[in-house]
Amino acid sequence: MNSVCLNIPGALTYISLLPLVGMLVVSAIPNMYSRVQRALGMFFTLSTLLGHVLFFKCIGMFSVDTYHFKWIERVTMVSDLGFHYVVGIDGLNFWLVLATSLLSFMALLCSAYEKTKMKTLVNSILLLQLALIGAFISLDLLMFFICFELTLVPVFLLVSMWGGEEGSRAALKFFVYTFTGSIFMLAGIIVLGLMHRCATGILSFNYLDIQSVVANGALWKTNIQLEKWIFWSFAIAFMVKSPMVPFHTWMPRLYKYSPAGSMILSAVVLKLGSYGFLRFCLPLFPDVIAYHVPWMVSLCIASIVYGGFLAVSQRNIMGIMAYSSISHMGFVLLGIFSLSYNGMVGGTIQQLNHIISTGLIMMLLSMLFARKDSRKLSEYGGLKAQMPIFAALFLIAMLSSVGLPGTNGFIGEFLSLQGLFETGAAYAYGLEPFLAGVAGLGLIIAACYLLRLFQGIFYGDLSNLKDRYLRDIKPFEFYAAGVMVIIIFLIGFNPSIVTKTIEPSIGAVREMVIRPAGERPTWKRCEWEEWHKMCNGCNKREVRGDN
Amino acid sequence: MISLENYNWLHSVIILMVLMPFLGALFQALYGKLTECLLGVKSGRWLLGSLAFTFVGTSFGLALLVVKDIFLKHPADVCCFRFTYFDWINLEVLRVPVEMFLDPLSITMVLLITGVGSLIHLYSTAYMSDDAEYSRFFTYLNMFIGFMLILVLSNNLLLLFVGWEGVGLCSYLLIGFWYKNLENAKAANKAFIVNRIGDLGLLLGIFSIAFLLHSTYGINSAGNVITPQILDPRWLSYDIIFGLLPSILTSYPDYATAIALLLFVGAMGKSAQFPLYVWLPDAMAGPTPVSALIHAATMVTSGIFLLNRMHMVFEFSPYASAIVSVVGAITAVWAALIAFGQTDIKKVLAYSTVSQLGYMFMACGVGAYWVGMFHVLTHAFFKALLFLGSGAVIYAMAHEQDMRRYGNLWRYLPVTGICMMIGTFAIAGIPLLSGFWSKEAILHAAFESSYPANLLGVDVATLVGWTGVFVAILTSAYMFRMHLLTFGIPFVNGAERWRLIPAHDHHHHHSESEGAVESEKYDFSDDTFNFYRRELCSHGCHHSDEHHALDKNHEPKEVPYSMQVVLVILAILSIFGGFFLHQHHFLEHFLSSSSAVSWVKPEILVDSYHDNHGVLESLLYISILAVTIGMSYALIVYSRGLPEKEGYNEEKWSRFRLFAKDGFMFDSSLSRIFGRGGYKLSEGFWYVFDNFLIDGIVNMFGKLSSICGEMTRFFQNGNIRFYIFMMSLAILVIIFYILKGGLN
Repeated sequence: MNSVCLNIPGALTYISLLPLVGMLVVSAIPNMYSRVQRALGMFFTLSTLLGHVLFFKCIGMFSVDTYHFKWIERVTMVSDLGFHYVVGIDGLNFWLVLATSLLSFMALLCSAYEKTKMKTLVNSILLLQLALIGAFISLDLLMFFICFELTLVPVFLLVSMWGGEEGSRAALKFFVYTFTGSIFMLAGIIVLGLMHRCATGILSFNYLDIQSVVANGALWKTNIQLEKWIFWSFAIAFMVKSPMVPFHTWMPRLYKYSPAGSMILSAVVLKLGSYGFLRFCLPLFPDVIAYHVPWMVSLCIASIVYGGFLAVSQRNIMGIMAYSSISHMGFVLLGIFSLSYNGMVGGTIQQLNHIISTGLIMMLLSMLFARKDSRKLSEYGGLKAQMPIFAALFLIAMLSSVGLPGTNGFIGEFLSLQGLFETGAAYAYGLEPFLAGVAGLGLIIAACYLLRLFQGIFYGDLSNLKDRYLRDIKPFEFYAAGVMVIIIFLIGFNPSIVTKTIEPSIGAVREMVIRPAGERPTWKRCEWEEWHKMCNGCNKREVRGDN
Repeated sequence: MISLENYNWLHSVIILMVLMPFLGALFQALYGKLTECLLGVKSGRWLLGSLAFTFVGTSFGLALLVVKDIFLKHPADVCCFRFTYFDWINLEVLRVPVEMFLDPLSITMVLLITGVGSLIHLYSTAYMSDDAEYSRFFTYLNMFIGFMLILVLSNNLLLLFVGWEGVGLCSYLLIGFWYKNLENAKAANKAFIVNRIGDLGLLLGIFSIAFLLHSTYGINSAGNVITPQILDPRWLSYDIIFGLLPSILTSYPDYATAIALLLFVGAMGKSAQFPLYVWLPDAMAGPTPVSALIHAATMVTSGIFLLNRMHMVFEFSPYASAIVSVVGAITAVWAALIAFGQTDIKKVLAYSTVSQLGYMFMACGVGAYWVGMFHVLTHAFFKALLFLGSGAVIYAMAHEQDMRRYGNLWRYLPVTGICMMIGTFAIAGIPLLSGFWSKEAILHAAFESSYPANLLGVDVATLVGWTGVFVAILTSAYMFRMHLLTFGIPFVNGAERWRLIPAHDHHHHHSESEGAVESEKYDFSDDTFNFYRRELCSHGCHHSDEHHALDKNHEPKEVPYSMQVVLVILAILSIFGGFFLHQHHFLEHFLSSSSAVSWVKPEILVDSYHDNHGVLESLLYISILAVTIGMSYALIVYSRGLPEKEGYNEEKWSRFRLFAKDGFMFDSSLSRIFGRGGYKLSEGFWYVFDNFLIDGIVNMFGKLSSICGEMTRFFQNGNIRFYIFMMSLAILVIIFYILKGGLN
């Protein structure tokens, strides 16, 4: 039964560091063996994925029924500065960690056609994977910040090295913009640590410590004004990252010049923003959320409608994808900020869905760009006859992005909107039910631009007679996309596999926000030894049961 | 309710019924091409076609079995079954199981969908036999039947929505089936997008119902804790809605109007009501069997089904009902007028469908829901017949759809002609044919309606009734126009009209374009990853316009038997269907018992007084008169033939017809405003807001920081003397500060 027992001390850290090992190994391979470099990269991303899956299976993450962390590892790094190494897994970050590794693997798989600079590509993607997983699992604010910023480096490298001159400018803009955004967060983090010292006498940046003090009201007391400021310092960083209108202008340009393997950028990096809101903003600043809900919801609706509307007229395919991502991320944050149970669950599922559906679309697009080196929509057309399988896969990805029932996209969008309607119909937080109707326009607009994209690539006459010679996609590309399609339908038909693990966590986060101080739930914070004892105990019992 | 113990098999039969078409679709999608390769195109297609038909036919057989063993053995009002299979969405506060609801209403729809569906599948096997993508067509068609069954059989609103969107998807795929023509693709997009507008309305309606039944909301703004009305999280299921909603709506009547109108917006999108009808005429771009099945007989009637299913909500809101019937009436008149100007035979039928759907909504709006369903059924018979008949004509006329080039087809297509004639009689409402009964029932219901339906001081029901009479005149006129243009008017200048088209040398044109392609050679030397074939496969590249065009040498031939059989069956249904359904008020009793749960009907203050007894007594004569007027108009105008000097161009006759041809500018201006205009606006927004304003501000900050950098660079100039000067200055300042502090 427990033949693979991964619940050893530090397992989460070890597995999450595998990409780092991968980077070291890949760096040692000479450039002439670029296929080996890519193969090794794929090996390490995949082993990270499998390692995490096995590990999560061992600790029972797939059938979790509590909002407490299933696994925490903690090492005190600099105790005087309150800097700890704390990582943990619960329902909020569990799926994101898996999705990150999956998408990194797919990104490497789809960069088979890169001819040069393979080592940089592989190393960048491995570093991105490492940084993203680090950001998702870290429970110390400083460590989160470091990983959050570390993601900028590989993205900057990827875009500036592949996008030409325009690309480097786009990359620079991205770097400066998001860096500026997150500087505010660093200030906020420091204030939080100091506030924690005021409340308890200990300087700590440990998220769990801080949250527990927030929960009983000892941290903010009545200092609403300061809480508002710190909320915004976090929110700005996450709004830039998500991105939310009007902080989105770094994104379309970055998309246009990103290389084929950068689907992980569009699919996963943006989730740092929504995850940040869910993990940090809501539990840490509960008293001021209510004031900001109308603001945030309006910005989300603006993102959905404005982003979608601009996507309609984009001539560059990646431009369409960029604005569509803005629109979709609007749905994610809308659900989260509706602060109703269904809405928050919906937003969280939507966050995952966007990784899968947009990831798949980007994957397919990268296959297309490898064949025809152009990103202008007008240079495509009529490819359905030549590439029927590719067209079918693209259709499924598009439908999932549009949110057709039966695919994963529907559940998320439905629940997000329903949650907003519920809050609005109760006239809570100054919201109104008609807002759900306005946000729902996003569904119509999404159909407009995605159908236009599909029509532009596949319908009509061939734009170029040479395209008559095109083959359909290759088997490995088909299998890669097939995996994603299976996930789309799996979540679409049985969303319980996702919802049942995130539900307890989302419920707890919601309680942390809507309850008054003192009644808010907190996470169990135990030291590693206790966890170890607990887990060992569990295992022994299980083994005994088997015998 | 009958105890289910004796009917355990029903549980599996129902799910099998739904799954069958999906299995068919899966088979076609996965093995369609393979079968064609293995067995050769001809026999492979024969197998694929018969399989597609068999899967749908099996569903029909199962439905008949259910009817025989359940509905014929028990009184209809106890035949309500709920079957639960597995959980689809399972949240703490929302559970949506896959569950089916079998009652008279749903079984009626199932019989219609699978019955007409299998007939049309049979027809399509012949109609599509020359198409290169035979199996793709049947994949979509089978899938459509499956989604439609989900729509009508589901026991909760969300599952209904699954079917609702699913049929929309199939409609999108089938309208754009011949995707090489960009116009078809655009028509498909338009259908999907306009339908989405309706879907949003339906979705909001679902949200409202959900909100009323179950608010998960903890604390509202006033600080009050709202306790959920019910604890079962299955709050979108019909049994819970029907059980609890009436009492809630009694206390919140405004919600009833809101919900009813939102649901109606959904129905408007799917059932092509004014102003959301614009997608349906364009949808004729799809193959003709698709138009018959999806855009006439089944999918477009799902709006009526929704109103029938949720009619409880509408009965709580007389205003919403009045709006429903008024919108129905407007649509009926509007579309009937446009139908006069159409020269494309399928467009005439499309507008006719829109108009007839308006009829159905009129019936629902005045409270006669079963009558709406009655018209759905009879309309499905004769409209499917007319569409398939027109398909046969198009098939025989080398895919030419312009009626101005038809004429005298009685001679060539006698069977089709007779069947189309029956269909025309039926839709016009010639007594004793099926259309007569349902139309009569609608008018009767309108004049008899006890609904207050008093909108802005107008007695809506009576108005709707007279509109119905007027539309009856129009209907018979434009339908006979269509029939006469197609089958009548023998000659222009002594020849059939298509004989006036000069013969064009098709082959020459074809080979020319081929030659141009072949002459160009491509360099594949940089194709290192083998993305391109080195040479084209001969059969892989088909042309969508392979068939030869209509010209003067064309000889129309009667269609294959498999198509004729379908026409004849539908013609028989069109003749007798209405009579049988109406006999002894069979359908009325059957459907009226359909609501699973009885509720206390809301007491509505009657504030308008109908006195339509006189009309009701002479209604029969009125409607016969209406048909006669319309028919004689068409006979007088069109039996003379078209004027000699104007050739066969009917367009030149009247300004009205030209105006109607364009749909009274409505559709085109909408497309211009929202299509072209939206695109331009989006582009403008992108330039002005995104690039200039928002990004400009961002860049301004960037500029600002670099200007600051320039300014500070003044201090970092590397001049040692300057540094020493600054240092001493600073020391002075510090000393001054300390001294000042010391003084304090």
